Amino acid sequence: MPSPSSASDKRPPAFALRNLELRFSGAERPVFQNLCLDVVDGEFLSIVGPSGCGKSTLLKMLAGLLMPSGGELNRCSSSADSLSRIGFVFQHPTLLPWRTALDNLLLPLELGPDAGERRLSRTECEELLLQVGLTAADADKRPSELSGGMQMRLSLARALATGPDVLLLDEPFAAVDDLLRLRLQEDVRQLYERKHLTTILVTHNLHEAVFMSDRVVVLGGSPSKVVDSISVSGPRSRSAEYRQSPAFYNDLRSVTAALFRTPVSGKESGDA
Amino acid sequence: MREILVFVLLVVVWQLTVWLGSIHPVLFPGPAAVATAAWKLRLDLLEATFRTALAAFTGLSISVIVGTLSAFVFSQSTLIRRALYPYAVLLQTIPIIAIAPIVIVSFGRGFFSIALVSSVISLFPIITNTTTGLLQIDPNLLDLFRLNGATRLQTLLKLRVPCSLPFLFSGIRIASGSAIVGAIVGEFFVGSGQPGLGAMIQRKSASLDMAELYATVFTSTALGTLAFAAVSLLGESLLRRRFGMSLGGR
Repeated sequence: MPSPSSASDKRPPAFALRNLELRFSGAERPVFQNLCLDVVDGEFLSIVGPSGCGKSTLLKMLAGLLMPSGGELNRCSSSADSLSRIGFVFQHPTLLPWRTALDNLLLPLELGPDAGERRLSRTECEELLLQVGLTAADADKRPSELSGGMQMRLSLARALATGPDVLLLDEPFAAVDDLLRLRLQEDVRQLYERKHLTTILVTHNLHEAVFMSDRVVVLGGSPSKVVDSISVSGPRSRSAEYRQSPAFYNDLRSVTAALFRTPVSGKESGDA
Repeated sequence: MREILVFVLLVVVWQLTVWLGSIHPVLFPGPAAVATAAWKLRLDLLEATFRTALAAFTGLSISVIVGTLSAFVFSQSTLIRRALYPYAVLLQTIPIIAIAPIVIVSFGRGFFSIALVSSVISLFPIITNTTTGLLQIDPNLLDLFRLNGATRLQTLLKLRVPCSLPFLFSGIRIASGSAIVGAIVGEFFVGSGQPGLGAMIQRKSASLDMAELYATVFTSTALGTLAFAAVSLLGESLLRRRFGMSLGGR
Protein backbone atom coordinates (compact mmCIF):
# COMPACT_ATOMS: atom_id res chain seq x y z
CA MET A 1 0.00 0.00 0.00
CA PRO A 2 1.24 3.54 -0.66
CA SER A 3 2.48 5.12 2.50
CA PRO A 4 1.48 8.74 2.97
CA SER A 5 4.89 9.65 4.34
CA SER A 6 6.46 13.03 3.73
CA ALA A 7 8.03 13.90 0.40
CA SER A 8 11.53 14.10 1.82
CA ASP A 9 11.62 10.36 2.56
CA LYS A 10 13.92 8.27 0.47
CA ARG A 11 11.35 5.97 -1.11
CA PRO A 12 12.03 2.79 -3.05
CA PRO A 13 11.35 2.98 -6.77
CA ALA A 14 7.99 1.72 -7.94
CA PHE A 15 9.60 0.63 -11.19
CA ALA A 16 13.26 0.13 -12.00
CA LEU A 17 14.09 -0.29 -15.70
CA ARG A 18 17.67 -1.28 -16.60
CA ASN A 19 18.93 -1.42 -20.19
CA LEU A 20 15.50 -2.40 -21.31
CA GLU A 21 15.12 -3.67 -24.82
CA LEU A 22 11.99 -4.42 -26.79
CA ARG A 23 12.10 -5.90 -30.24
CA PHE A 24 9.02 -7.09 -32.09
CA SER A 25 9.61 -10.25 -34.04
CA GLY A 26 10.39 -9.48 -37.64
CA ALA A 27 11.14 -5.82 -36.94
CA GLU A 28 14.35 -4.39 -38.34
CA ARG A 29 15.35 -2.44 -35.26
CA PRO A 30 14.15 -2.62 -31.68
CA VAL A 31 11.58 -0.18 -30.32
CA PHE A 32 13.67 0.40 -27.21
CA GLN A 33 17.31 -0.13 -26.49
CA ASN A 34 19.28 0.70 -23.34
CA LEU A 35 16.23 2.27 -21.80
CA CYS A 36 16.87 3.13 -18.16
CA LEU A 37 14.25 4.66 -15.92
CA ASP A 38 13.42 4.75 -12.23
CA VAL A 39 9.92 5.66 -11.19
CA VAL A 40 9.87 6.85 -7.61
CA ASP A 41 7.12 5.47 -5.43
CA GLY A 42 4.36 8.04 -5.10
CA GLU A 43 5.51 10.40 -7.85
CA PHE A 44 3.47 11.69 -10.75
CA LEU A 45 5.56 11.07 -13.84
CA SER A 46 4.77 12.14 -17.37
CA ILE A 47 6.25 10.55 -20.46
CA VAL A 48 6.45 12.76 -23.55
CA GLY A 49 8.20 12.39 -26.87
CA PRO A 50 7.70 12.59 -30.60
CA SER A 51 4.93 10.43 -32.06
CA GLY A 52 6.00 6.90 -32.69
CA CYS A 53 8.69 6.93 -30.03
CA GLY A 54 6.90 4.19 -28.09
CA LYS A 55 5.34 6.10 -25.20
CA SER A 56 2.24 3.94 -25.08
CA THR A 57 4.29 0.81 -25.72
CA LEU A 58 6.43 1.63 -22.69
CA LEU A 59 3.28 2.03 -20.60
CA LYS A 60 2.05 -1.36 -21.74
CA MET A 61 5.35 -2.89 -20.70
CA LEU A 62 5.02 -1.29 -17.28
CA ALA A 63 1.52 -2.75 -17.06
CA GLY A 64 2.87 -6.19 -17.87
CA LEU A 65 0.91 -6.40 -21.12
CA LEU A 66 4.14 -6.60 -23.12
CA MET A 67 7.27 -8.47 -22.12
CA PRO A 68 10.64 -6.84 -22.74
CA SER A 69 12.99 -8.82 -24.95
CA GLY A 70 16.05 -7.80 -22.96
CA GLY A 71 17.22 -5.96 -19.88
CA GLU A 72 15.46 -5.75 -16.56
CA LEU A 73 12.06 -4.46 -15.60
CA ASN A 74 11.58 -4.60 -11.87
CA ARG A 75 8.30 -3.81 -10.32
CA CYS A 76 8.78 -3.07 -6.68
CA SER A 77 5.45 -3.56 -5.04
CA SER A 78 4.51 -4.37 -1.50
CA SER A 79 1.69 -6.56 -2.69
CA ALA A 80 2.19 -10.00 -4.16
CA ASP A 81 -0.39 -9.96 -6.94
CA SER A 82 1.34 -7.18 -8.82
CA LEU A 83 -0.73 -7.44 -11.97
CA SER A 84 -4.02 -6.62 -10.36
CA ARG A 85 -2.55 -3.71 -8.45
CA ILE A 86 -2.21 -1.64 -11.57
CA GLY A 87 -4.96 0.68 -12.68
CA PHE A 88 -4.93 1.45 -16.38
CA VAL A 89 -6.85 4.19 -18.18
CA PHE A 90 -6.98 4.00 -21.95
CA GLN A 91 -7.29 6.80 -24.47
CA HIS A 92 -10.93 5.86 -24.92
CA PRO A 93 -13.24 4.98 -22.03
CA THR A 94 -13.40 1.29 -23.16
CA LEU A 95 -16.55 0.63 -21.18
CA LEU A 96 -18.87 -2.31 -21.74
CA PRO A 97 -22.04 -0.81 -23.26
CA TRP A 98 -24.35 -3.45 -21.80
CA ARG A 99 -23.29 -2.81 -18.22
CA THR A 100 -24.39 0.01 -15.97
CA ALA A 101 -21.79 2.41 -14.61
CA LEU A 102 -21.78 0.45 -11.36
CA ASP A 103 -21.24 -2.89 -13.11
CA ASN A 104 -18.52 -1.42 -15.29
CA LEU A 105 -16.85 -0.18 -12.14
CA LEU A 106 -17.02 -3.64 -10.59
CA LEU A 107 -15.75 -5.46 -13.70
CA PRO A 108 -12.07 -5.70 -12.62
CA LEU A 109 -13.17 -7.39 -9.39
CA GLU A 110 -15.03 -10.07 -11.34
CA LEU A 111 -11.96 -11.09 -13.31
CA GLY A 112 -9.03 -13.29 -12.51
CA PRO A 113 -8.77 -16.69 -10.90
CA ASP A 114 -9.60 -15.20 -7.52
CA ALA A 115 -12.68 -13.41 -8.84
CA GLY A 116 -15.34 -12.73 -6.27
CA GLU A 117 -12.97 -12.70 -3.33
CA ARG A 118 -12.66 -8.95 -3.40
CA ARG A 119 -15.89 -7.07 -3.05
CA LEU A 120 -17.00 -3.49 -2.98
CA SER A 121 -20.20 -2.44 -1.30
CA ARG A 122 -22.62 -0.15 -3.07
CA THR A 123 -21.56 2.66 -0.73
CA GLU A 124 -17.89 2.13 -1.54
CA CYS A 125 -18.69 2.24 -5.25
CA GLU A 126 -20.66 5.44 -4.89
CA GLU A 127 -17.77 6.89 -2.93
CA LEU A 128 -15.46 6.02 -5.84
CA LEU A 129 -17.83 7.66 -8.30
CA LEU A 130 -17.86 10.79 -6.16
CA GLN A 131 -14.06 10.83 -6.07
CA VAL A 132 -13.85 10.99 -9.85
CA GLY A 133 -16.53 13.66 -10.13
CA LEU A 134 -19.60 11.53 -10.83
CA THR A 135 -22.68 11.25 -8.62
CA ALA A 136 -24.39 8.29 -6.97
CA ALA A 137 -27.27 8.85 -9.40
CA ASP A 138 -24.97 7.93 -12.28
CA ALA A 139 -24.39 4.44 -10.88
CA ASP A 140 -27.34 2.85 -12.65
CA LYS A 141 -26.86 4.57 -15.99
CA ARG A 142 -25.53 2.84 -19.07
CA PRO A 143 -22.42 4.36 -20.72
CA SER A 144 -24.60 5.56 -23.61
CA GLU A 145 -26.44 7.77 -21.14
CA LEU A 146 -23.20 9.41 -19.98
CA SER A 147 -21.33 12.20 -21.75
CA GLY A 148 -17.83 11.62 -23.12
CA GLY A 149 -16.26 13.31 -20.10
CA MET A 150 -18.36 11.30 -17.67
CA GLN A 151 -17.41 8.08 -19.45
CA MET A 152 -13.75 9.01 -19.03
CA ARG A 153 -14.35 9.65 -15.32
CA LEU A 154 -16.05 6.27 -15.01
CA SER A 155 -13.08 4.67 -16.75
CA LEU A 156 -10.85 6.31 -14.14
CA ALA A 157 -13.05 5.05 -11.30
CA ARG A 158 -12.85 1.54 -12.72
CA ALA A 159 -9.05 1.77 -12.72
CA LEU A 160 -9.23 2.66 -9.03
CA ALA A 161 -11.70 -0.09 -8.11
CA THR A 162 -9.08 -2.72 -7.35
CA GLY A 163 -7.28 -0.34 -4.99
CA PRO A 164 -4.15 -0.15 -7.18
CA ASP A 165 -0.85 1.29 -6.02
CA VAL A 166 0.08 2.36 -9.52
CA LEU A 167 -2.09 4.27 -11.96
CA LEU A 168 -1.14 4.24 -15.64
CA LEU A 169 -2.79 6.80 -17.92
CA ASP A 170 -2.42 6.37 -21.67
CA GLU A 171 -3.30 9.74 -23.23
CA PRO A 172 -6.57 9.64 -21.34
CA PHE A 173 -7.81 13.09 -22.37
CA ALA A 174 -6.76 13.01 -26.01
CA ALA A 175 -10.30 12.51 -27.24
CA VAL A 176 -12.12 15.16 -25.18
CA ASP A 177 -12.60 18.85 -25.96
CA ASP A 178 -10.18 21.46 -24.60
CA LEU A 179 -12.26 22.86 -21.76
CA LEU A 180 -13.13 19.43 -20.46
CA ARG A 181 -9.53 18.43 -20.85
CA LEU A 182 -8.40 21.22 -18.48
CA ARG A 183 -11.04 20.26 -15.90
CA LEU A 184 -10.09 16.60 -16.07
CA GLN A 185 -6.41 17.46 -15.68
CA GLU A 186 -7.17 19.42 -12.52
CA ASP A 187 -9.46 16.71 -11.15
CA VAL A 188 -6.99 13.90 -11.76
CA ARG A 189 -4.16 15.92 -10.25
CA GLN A 190 -6.26 16.55 -7.15
CA LEU A 191 -7.18 12.89 -6.99
CA TYR A 192 -3.47 12.09 -7.08
CA GLU A 193 -2.77 14.58 -4.31
CA ARG A 194 -5.38 12.91 -2.12
CA LYS A 195 -4.56 9.28 -2.93
CA HIS A 196 -0.82 9.55 -3.29
CA LEU A 197 -0.73 6.90 -6.00
CA THR A 198 2.30 6.43 -8.18
CA THR A 199 0.93 7.80 -11.43
CA ILE A 200 2.45 7.60 -14.90
CA LEU A 201 0.91 9.65 -17.66
CA VAL A 202 1.64 9.29 -21.35
CA THR A 203 0.75 12.44 -23.25
CA HIS A 204 1.75 14.43 -26.29
CA ASN A 205 0.50 17.63 -24.68
CA LEU A 206 3.34 19.44 -22.91
CA HIS A 207 1.02 21.80 -20.98
CA GLU A 208 -0.70 18.73 -19.62
CA ALA A 209 2.58 17.05 -18.71
CA VAL A 210 3.90 20.09 -16.84
CA PHE A 211 0.62 20.92 -15.15
CA MET A 212 -0.05 17.44 -13.88
CA SER A 213 3.27 15.87 -13.03
CA ASP A 214 6.25 16.15 -10.69
CA ARG A 215 8.67 15.00 -13.35
CA VAL A 216 8.63 14.82 -17.11
CA VAL A 217 10.61 12.20 -18.97
CA VAL A 218 11.41 12.72 -22.64
CA LEU A 219 11.67 9.66 -24.87
CA GLY A 220 13.37 9.88 -28.22
CA GLY A 221 15.80 8.48 -30.69
CA SER A 222 15.57 5.34 -32.72
CA PRO A 223 15.62 2.87 -31.08
CA SER A 224 14.01 4.89 -28.38
CA LYS A 225 15.42 5.62 -24.93
CA VAL A 226 15.09 8.19 -22.17
CA VAL A 227 16.82 11.31 -23.45
CA ASP A 228 15.91 13.75 -20.71
CA SER A 229 14.25 13.99 -17.34
CA ILE A 230 13.03 17.33 -16.03
CA SER A 231 11.76 17.94 -12.52
CA VAL A 232 8.73 20.19 -12.39
CA SER A 233 9.07 22.81 -9.67
CA GLY A 234 5.35 23.40 -9.17
CA PRO A 235 3.70 23.05 -5.77
CA ARG A 236 2.30 19.75 -4.67
CA SER A 237 -1.21 21.10 -4.55
CA ARG A 238 -2.18 22.59 -7.88
CA SER A 239 -5.24 24.42 -9.06
CA ALA A 240 -6.17 26.23 -12.24
CA GLU A 241 -4.22 29.31 -11.07
CA TYR A 242 -0.98 27.37 -11.34
CA ARG A 243 -1.36 27.47 -15.12
CA GLN A 244 -0.86 31.26 -14.99
CA SER A 245 2.19 31.23 -12.72
CA PRO A 246 5.73 32.06 -13.91
CA ALA A 247 6.95 28.75 -12.44
CA PHE A 248 4.61 26.84 -14.76
CA TYR A 249 5.91 28.72 -17.78
CA ASN A 250 9.52 28.19 -16.77
CA ASP A 251 8.99 24.45 -16.57
CA LEU A 252 7.03 24.42 -19.78
CA ARG A 253 9.93 26.19 -21.47
CA SER A 254 12.49 23.69 -20.29
CA VAL A 255 10.35 20.71 -21.28
CA THR A 256 9.70 22.24 -24.69
CA ALA A 257 13.40 22.90 -25.14
CA ALA A 258 14.20 19.32 -24.15
CA LEU A 259 11.75 17.99 -26.68
CA PHE A 260 13.24 20.21 -29.39
CA ARG A 261 16.70 18.95 -28.46
CA THR A 262 15.52 15.37 -28.90
CA PRO A 263 17.53 14.25 -31.90
CA VAL A 264 16.56 11.62 -34.37
CA SER A 265 19.67 9.65 -33.48
CA GLY A 266 19.07 9.80 -29.73
CA LYS A 267 21.12 11.51 -27.05
CA GLU A 268 22.66 10.06 -23.92
CA SER A 269 21.40 11.59 -20.74
CA GLY A 270 21.59 10.76 -17.07
CA ASP A 271 18.30 9.67 -15.65
CA ALA A 272 17.05 9.02 -12.14
CA MET B 1 -43.36 6.96 -48.29
CA ARG B 2 -41.09 6.99 -51.36
CA GLU B 3 -41.09 3.18 -51.36
CA ILE B 4 -44.89 3.14 -51.57
CA LEU B 5 -44.80 5.64 -54.42
CA VAL B 6 -42.41 3.40 -56.34
CA PHE B 7 -44.70 0.43 -55.69
CA VAL B 8 -47.78 2.25 -57.00
CA LEU B 9 -45.85 3.40 -60.05
CA LEU B 10 -44.67 -0.15 -60.79
CA VAL B 11 -48.20 -1.55 -60.51
CA VAL B 12 -49.56 1.15 -62.84
CA VAL B 13 -46.81 0.56 -65.43
CA TRP B 14 -47.41 -3.17 -65.17
CA GLN B 15 -51.18 -2.84 -65.76
CA LEU B 16 -50.57 -0.46 -68.66
CA THR B 17 -48.12 -2.91 -70.25
CA VAL B 18 -50.74 -5.66 -70.10
CA TRP B 19 -53.44 -3.39 -71.63
CA LEU B 20 -51.27 -1.92 -74.35
CA GLY B 21 -49.01 -4.92 -74.92
CA SER B 22 -49.49 -7.75 -77.35
CA ILE B 23 -48.83 -10.59 -74.91
CA HIS B 24 -51.86 -12.72 -74.14
CA PRO B 25 -53.27 -11.92 -70.66
CA VAL B 26 -53.24 -15.62 -69.79
CA LEU B 27 -49.45 -15.71 -70.19
CA PHE B 28 -48.83 -12.29 -68.70
CA PRO B 29 -51.53 -11.41 -66.17
CA GLY B 30 -51.95 -7.84 -64.96
CA PRO B 31 -52.04 -6.76 -61.30
CA ALA B 32 -55.84 -6.88 -61.27
CA ALA B 33 -55.90 -10.48 -62.42
CA VAL B 34 -53.20 -11.42 -59.90
CA ALA B 35 -55.07 -9.71 -57.08
CA THR B 36 -58.26 -11.57 -58.02
CA ALA B 37 -56.36 -14.87 -58.08
CA ALA B 38 -54.77 -14.10 -54.71
CA TRP B 39 -58.19 -13.37 -53.20
CA LYS B 40 -59.60 -16.58 -54.61
CA LEU B 41 -56.64 -18.55 -53.23
CA ARG B 42 -56.41 -16.65 -49.93
CA LEU B 43 -57.03 -19.62 -47.67
CA ASP B 44 -54.64 -21.89 -49.56
CA LEU B 45 -52.02 -19.14 -49.63
CA LEU B 46 -52.42 -18.46 -45.92
CA GLU B 47 -51.97 -22.11 -45.04
CA ALA B 48 -49.03 -22.49 -47.44
CA THR B 49 -47.38 -19.39 -46.03
CA PHE B 50 -47.77 -20.73 -42.53
CA ARG B 51 -46.28 -24.11 -43.50
CA THR B 52 -43.35 -22.53 -45.30
CA ALA B 53 -42.72 -20.08 -42.47
CA LEU B 54 -42.72 -22.96 -39.99
CA ALA B 55 -40.22 -24.95 -42.07
CA ALA B 56 -38.01 -21.89 -42.55
CA PHE B 57 -38.18 -21.04 -38.85
CA THR B 58 -37.18 -24.60 -37.95
CA GLY B 59 -34.35 -24.49 -40.48
CA LEU B 60 -33.17 -21.11 -39.24
CA SER B 61 -33.24 -22.34 -35.64
CA ILE B 62 -31.07 -25.32 -36.57
CA SER B 63 -28.70 -22.88 -38.33
CA VAL B 64 -28.52 -20.58 -35.32
CA ILE B 65 -27.67 -23.48 -33.00
CA VAL B 66 -25.19 -25.18 -35.34
CA GLY B 67 -23.80 -21.84 -36.55
CA THR B 68 -23.08 -20.35 -33.13
CA LEU B 69 -21.57 -23.62 -31.90
CA SER B 70 -19.32 -23.75 -34.98
CA ALA B 71 -18.39 -20.10 -34.45
CA PHE B 72 -17.39 -20.89 -30.85
CA VAL B 73 -15.14 -23.68 -32.06
CA PHE B 74 -13.72 -21.50 -34.86
CA SER B 75 -12.98 -18.66 -32.46
CA GLN B 76 -11.05 -20.84 -30.04
CA SER B 77 -8.14 -21.79 -32.25
CA THR B 78 -6.55 -20.46 -35.41
CA LEU B 79 -5.59 -23.99 -36.37
CA ILE B 80 -9.18 -25.26 -36.30
CA ARG B 81 -10.34 -22.14 -38.12
CA ARG B 82 -7.80 -22.57 -40.90
CA ALA B 83 -8.61 -26.27 -41.23
CA LEU B 84 -12.41 -26.01 -41.24
CA TYR B 85 -13.21 -22.64 -42.76
CA PRO B 86 -12.81 -23.82 -46.39
CA TYR B 87 -15.54 -26.37 -45.74
CA ALA B 88 -17.85 -23.67 -44.42
CA VAL B 89 -17.22 -21.75 -47.65
CA LEU B 90 -17.96 -24.92 -49.61
CA LEU B 91 -21.36 -25.00 -47.93
CA GLN B 92 -22.01 -21.57 -49.37
CA THR B 93 -20.92 -22.38 -52.90
CA ILE B 94 -22.87 -25.60 -53.51
CA PRO B 95 -26.03 -24.54 -55.38
CA ILE B 96 -29.13 -25.03 -53.29
CA ILE B 97 -31.02 -26.71 -56.16
CA ALA B 98 -28.33 -29.40 -56.08
CA ILE B 99 -28.56 -29.83 -52.30
CA ALA B 100 -32.35 -30.08 -52.16
CA PRO B 101 -32.78 -33.33 -54.13
CA ILE B 102 -29.89 -34.96 -52.24
CA VAL B 103 -31.39 -34.06 -48.86
CA ILE B 104 -34.85 -35.19 -49.91
CA VAL B 105 -33.58 -38.51 -51.23
CA SER B 106 -31.55 -39.04 -48.04
CA PHE B 107 -34.09 -37.91 -45.45
CA GLY B 108 -37.44 -38.50 -47.14
CA ARG B 109 -40.16 -36.26 -48.47
CA GLY B 110 -41.20 -34.82 -45.13
CA PHE B 111 -41.05 -31.62 -43.11
CA PHE B 112 -37.61 -32.40 -41.73
CA SER B 113 -35.99 -32.51 -45.16
CA ILE B 114 -37.46 -29.13 -46.05
CA ALA B 115 -36.25 -27.60 -42.79
CA LEU B 116 -32.82 -29.12 -43.45
CA VAL B 117 -32.56 -27.59 -46.93
CA SER B 118 -33.54 -24.27 -45.39
CA SER B 119 -30.88 -24.73 -42.72
CA VAL B 120 -28.09 -25.59 -45.17
CA ILE B 121 -28.61 -22.37 -47.11
CA SER B 122 -28.91 -20.15 -44.02
CA LEU B 123 -26.01 -21.56 -42.03
CA PHE B 124 -23.06 -19.78 -43.63
CA PRO B 125 -23.86 -16.13 -42.79
CA ILE B 126 -24.41 -17.10 -39.16
CA ILE B 127 -21.08 -18.93 -38.88
CA THR B 128 -19.04 -16.16 -40.53
CA ASN B 129 -20.75 -13.27 -38.79
CA THR B 130 -20.59 -14.81 -35.34
CA THR B 131 -16.97 -15.89 -35.78
CA THR B 132 -16.05 -12.37 -36.83
CA GLY B 133 -17.94 -10.97 -33.83
CA LEU B 134 -16.18 -13.29 -31.38
CA LEU B 135 -12.75 -12.39 -32.75
CA GLN B 136 -13.11 -8.72 -33.63
CA ILE B 137 -12.83 -7.29 -30.12
CA ASP B 138 -11.53 -3.81 -29.26
CA PRO B 139 -7.85 -4.50 -28.40
CA ASN B 140 -8.07 -2.09 -25.47
CA LEU B 141 -10.88 -4.14 -23.95
CA LEU B 142 -8.79 -7.29 -24.38
CA ASP B 143 -5.90 -5.47 -22.66
CA LEU B 144 -8.22 -4.47 -19.84
CA PHE B 145 -9.25 -8.09 -19.33
CA ARG B 146 -5.66 -9.35 -19.50
CA LEU B 147 -4.52 -6.65 -17.11
CA ASN B 148 -7.00 -7.90 -14.54
CA GLY B 149 -5.89 -11.48 -15.04
CA ALA B 150 -9.11 -12.63 -16.72
CA THR B 151 -9.27 -16.34 -17.49
CA ARG B 152 -10.07 -17.58 -20.99
CA LEU B 153 -13.59 -18.45 -19.93
CA GLN B 154 -14.18 -15.06 -18.29
CA THR B 155 -13.00 -13.29 -21.44
CA LEU B 156 -15.28 -15.46 -23.53
CA LEU B 157 -18.41 -15.05 -21.41
CA LYS B 158 -18.02 -11.49 -20.20
CA LEU B 159 -16.48 -9.97 -23.32
CA ARG B 160 -16.48 -12.01 -26.52
CA VAL B 161 -20.02 -13.38 -26.35
CA PRO B 162 -21.78 -10.06 -25.61
CA CYS B 163 -19.61 -8.25 -28.17
CA SER B 164 -20.54 -10.80 -30.84
CA LEU B 165 -24.31 -10.35 -30.41
CA PRO B 166 -24.74 -7.53 -32.96
CA PHE B 167 -22.83 -9.70 -35.44
CA LEU B 168 -24.95 -12.76 -34.63
CA PHE B 169 -28.15 -10.77 -35.13
CA SER B 170 -27.09 -9.30 -38.44
CA GLY B 171 -26.13 -12.84 -39.47
CA ILE B 172 -29.60 -14.09 -38.55
CA ARG B 173 -31.09 -11.16 -40.45
CA ILE B 174 -29.26 -12.10 -43.64
CA ALA B 175 -30.01 -15.79 -43.05
CA SER B 176 -33.75 -15.25 -42.49
CA GLY B 177 -34.38 -14.40 -46.13
CA SER B 178 -32.22 -17.32 -47.29
CA ALA B 179 -34.06 -19.68 -44.93
CA ILE B 180 -37.37 -18.84 -46.63
CA VAL B 181 -35.82 -19.40 -50.07
CA GLY B 182 -34.38 -22.71 -48.84
CA ALA B 183 -37.73 -23.90 -47.51
CA ILE B 184 -39.47 -22.98 -50.78
CA VAL B 185 -36.84 -24.78 -52.84
CA GLY B 186 -37.20 -27.82 -50.59
CA GLU B 187 -40.98 -27.81 -50.97
CA PHE B 188 -40.64 -27.34 -54.73
CA PHE B 189 -38.64 -30.54 -54.98
CA VAL B 190 -40.91 -32.53 -52.67
CA GLY B 191 -43.73 -31.33 -54.89
CA SER B 192 -47.19 -32.85 -54.87
CA GLY B 193 -48.90 -33.55 -51.57
CA GLN B 194 -46.84 -30.87 -49.84
CA PRO B 195 -48.85 -27.90 -48.57
CA GLY B 196 -46.08 -25.22 -48.64
CA LEU B 197 -45.53 -22.27 -50.99
CA GLY B 198 -42.80 -24.09 -52.93
CA ALA B 199 -45.06 -27.01 -53.82
CA MET B 200 -47.77 -24.55 -54.74
CA ILE B 201 -45.40 -22.72 -57.10
CA GLN B 202 -44.52 -26.05 -58.62
CA ARG B 203 -48.20 -27.00 -59.15
CA LYS B 204 -49.22 -23.62 -60.56
CA SER B 205 -46.34 -23.52 -63.03
CA ALA B 206 -47.08 -27.08 -64.13
CA SER B 207 -50.70 -26.18 -64.84
CA LEU B 208 -49.68 -22.83 -66.44
CA ASP B 209 -52.02 -20.98 -64.10
CA MET B 210 -50.07 -17.73 -64.50
CA ALA B 211 -52.19 -15.39 -62.38
CA GLU B 212 -52.22 -17.88 -59.51
CA LEU B 213 -48.49 -18.52 -59.97
CA TYR B 214 -47.80 -14.80 -59.73
CA ALA B 215 -49.96 -14.57 -56.62
CA THR B 216 -47.98 -17.38 -54.99
CA VAL B 217 -44.63 -15.87 -55.98
CA PHE B 218 -45.61 -12.49 -54.53
CA THR B 219 -46.76 -14.15 -51.33
CA SER B 220 -43.34 -15.84 -51.07
CA THR B 221 -41.59 -12.51 -51.56
CA ALA B 222 -43.80 -10.90 -48.95
CA LEU B 223 -42.96 -13.68 -46.50
CA GLY B 224 -39.22 -13.21 -47.06
CA THR B 225 -39.47 -9.47 -46.57
CA LEU B 226 -41.59 -9.93 -43.47
CA ALA B 227 -39.05 -12.35 -41.98
CA PHE B 228 -36.21 -9.91 -42.65
CA ALA B 229 -38.14 -7.03 -41.10
CA ALA B 230 -39.23 -9.06 -38.09
CA VAL B 231 -35.71 -10.25 -37.31
CA SER B 232 -34.33 -6.71 -37.75
CA LEU B 233 -36.93 -5.23 -35.42
CA LEU B 234 -36.60 -7.96 -32.80
CA GLY B 235 -32.79 -7.95 -32.88
CA GLU B 236 -32.57 -4.19 -32.80
CA SER B 237 -34.87 -3.76 -29.82
CA LEU B 238 -33.29 -6.63 -27.88
CA LEU B 239 -29.80 -5.26 -28.48
CA ARG B 240 -30.74 -1.74 -27.53
CA ARG B 241 -32.78 -2.56 -24.43
CA ARG B 242 -30.77 -5.41 -22.98
CA PHE B 243 -27.27 -4.65 -24.23
CA GLY B 244 -27.06 -0.93 -25.05
CA MET B 245 -25.75 -1.75 -28.52
CA SER B 246 -27.14 -1.32 -31.99
CA LEU B 247 -27.37 -3.68 -34.93
CA GLY B 248 -25.70 -1.47 -37.50
CA GLY B 249 -25.72 -2.15 -41.21
CA ARG B 250 -23.50 -4.98 -42.28
